[in-house]
Amino acid sequence: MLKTSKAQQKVLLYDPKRCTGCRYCEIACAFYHFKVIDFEKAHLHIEFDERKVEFEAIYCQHCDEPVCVAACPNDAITKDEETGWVKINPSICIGCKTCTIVCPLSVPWFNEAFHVSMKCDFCDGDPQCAKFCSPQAIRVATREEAWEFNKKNYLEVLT
Amino acid sequence: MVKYASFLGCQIPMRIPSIEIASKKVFEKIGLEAVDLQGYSCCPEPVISRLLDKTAWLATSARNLVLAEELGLDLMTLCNGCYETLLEANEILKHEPEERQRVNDILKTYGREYKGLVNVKHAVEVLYEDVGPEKIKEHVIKPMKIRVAMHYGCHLYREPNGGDITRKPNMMKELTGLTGVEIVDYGLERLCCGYPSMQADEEFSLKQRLLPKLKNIKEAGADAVVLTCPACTIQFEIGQILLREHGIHYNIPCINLMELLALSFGIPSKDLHLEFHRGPTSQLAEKIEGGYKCLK
Repeated sequence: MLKTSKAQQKVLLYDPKRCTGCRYCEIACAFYHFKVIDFEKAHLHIEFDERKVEFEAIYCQHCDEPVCVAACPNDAITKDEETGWVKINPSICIGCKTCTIVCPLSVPWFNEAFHVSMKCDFCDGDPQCAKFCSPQAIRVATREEAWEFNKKNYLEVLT
Repeated sequence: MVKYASFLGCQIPMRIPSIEIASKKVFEKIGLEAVDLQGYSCCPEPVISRLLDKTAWLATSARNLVLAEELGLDLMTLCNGCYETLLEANEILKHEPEERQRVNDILKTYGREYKGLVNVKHAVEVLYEDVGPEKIKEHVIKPMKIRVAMHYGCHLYREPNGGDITRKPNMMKELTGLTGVEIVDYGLERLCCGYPSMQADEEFSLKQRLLPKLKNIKEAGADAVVLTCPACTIQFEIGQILLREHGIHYNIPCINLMELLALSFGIPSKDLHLEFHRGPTSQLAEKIEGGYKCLK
């Protein structure tokens, strides 16, 4: 029995209408994990479409049923059912890059220096990206809130 | 009389002191008493320094807040970065007892204690909420007949508890409008100027952040960009110089809201020392004063 219901698990939620594209979230993420200021070492990315004047973020949803977990041939990726966080264990990862291909959002990335895949680990409960976002475009929310937001702003817009 | 402790930060007095000069003249005219915070340090910078050492960041910021507490005044900042740091640090120290204790243990060494007695406001909020647009408008004797584009700056969007991010930018826009300028929309107002990404990828910062803004601002027919943030001002000004190395030529002047207000109050541009800008700001002011009609 889970202490926290899935709906109440904490996830990241991005609102493009608040984003300025400053990429402080990426700087904070890369610095927290690697102690460098390098966009390529961030676990999330902000994209800006100049023509449409639209922002979008590529970040881990810590899916209910993660494709990366299912596809990993060496069971290096696990989902903590209590917290909901999906993490890669670098000591088990064989660097096959399967997760980088199967993820619908292309969140996992291959670290050429370490020869393992890497992805968002939710900073052990205190996501730095959310902490350093001035307009709070990316923030910590419940899975239920994120689902409602994404349904309204993405699915319903498309259908 | 409205009275605040004034936190100038580093960039304004050290790199663009014309903003400090203009603000003092504007505050005097509108009856806002801004007491210089004696002995203050860097705010410190809201992202990199906080990432490097959160405790040092918080303790340094707390010391600045304590200086305002000792004056018994709320703190007003002119710089967007200082605003976010001091606002955030104040929120953390007020609501997280463990952090407050840790910081007070450090401050004790210097004979100081953070008590959580002051609030932090951006100068835009003070002008809009405490002085009021109507009172400010009374002092506008030389309406600025120019077209301007607004750049608000990322840190101005900071609102505690996820509030309306347009609150302070709307205030800034309305205050700008009081000077008689025509504000032109260019569609990329919210886009970051690229200052933060200069530290990670200079070419990206210049070409993917600053350049789209410059293009749109020029196409919209603006004579100048109005800002409040000194870091964004430096990015706009130095960025235009650096873009020349890529064969891209822009020469758009930047003007701080305080400088614009001062000019509209009839304060001569030579008294503001706009030559501290790394762009054609003083030339813009001279054209305005010479009766040059930028409006087409």
